[in-house]
Amino acid sequence: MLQSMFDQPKQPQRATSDAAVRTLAADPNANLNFGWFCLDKPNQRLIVAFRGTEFIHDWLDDFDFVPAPYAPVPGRGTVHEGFQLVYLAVRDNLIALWNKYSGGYSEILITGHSLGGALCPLATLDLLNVNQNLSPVVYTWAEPRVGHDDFVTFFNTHVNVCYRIVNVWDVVPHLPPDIAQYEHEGSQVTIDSGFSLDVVHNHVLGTGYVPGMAMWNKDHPLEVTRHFGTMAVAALVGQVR
Amino acid sequence: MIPFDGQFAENIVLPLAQAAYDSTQAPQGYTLNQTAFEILANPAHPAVQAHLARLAPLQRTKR
Repeated sequence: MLQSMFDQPKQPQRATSDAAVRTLAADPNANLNFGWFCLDKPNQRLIVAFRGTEFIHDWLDDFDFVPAPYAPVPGRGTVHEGFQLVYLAVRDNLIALWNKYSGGYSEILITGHSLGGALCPLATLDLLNVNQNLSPVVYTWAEPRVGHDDFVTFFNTHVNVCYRIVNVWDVVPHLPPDIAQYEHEGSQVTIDSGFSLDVVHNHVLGTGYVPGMAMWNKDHPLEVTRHFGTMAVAALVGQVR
Repeated sequence: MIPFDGQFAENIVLPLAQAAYDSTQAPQGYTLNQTAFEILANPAHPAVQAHLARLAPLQRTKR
């Protein structure tokens, strides 16, 4: 599983200007880019976007359920060892970017697809531990289960906004199975891209999630979506017929 | 909890998740090395090296 994350994707890797970082690469063919750290200056928001693996079949073939203590914040629960190892491989660079550019920002949007989605909760709590005034907003796509009950409870206690968008036909969010004691954090939003027997089709953003999200929005008009919380409260006090 | 915003998810977040796969250009609306910076993994990390060493040779060479 871990190996498939470092395999070279179809797109050629652009050379980085940071020679110090390049020297860290032990394997010249490994794909070092795990996504983007962006500054959304107009909205005063930081953005972290993690990629997943492009080798989904290899990843599923190699999938294991081995647990390990959450290393960035000791004593805060148990997580999937493989996901954590991937996160630890990007952690130094992420924290360095955070330390360099986060001044003046109080909100951070963290997103990722598939295995990239699994990195989101691991990174969120780590960054929260660095800056407890941070307001994280987490949107994940096709995220597998990441942690045991202790980690999930810790996450849900400290992260107010976490939505997991799940295509109802996608198998990856069902891994590792709950029988292995892994649980989901946050709130699930279920979308429907249409039935297909193709595991990859159901899982990939372009075929499984872009049409599914568009369909969800078509079925949930903007005003209902944005004011759902207010409407629910109004209904409770009898102001909505 | 802030209610789920489907338009925000589709129009803002989803393109960023897609852009994460493309290491050749910064996400749309962002400028490389000004408002967009690569998140780079360190495969020399001891934990990663230890894990790779434990993998069976077939797994290590699998593509």
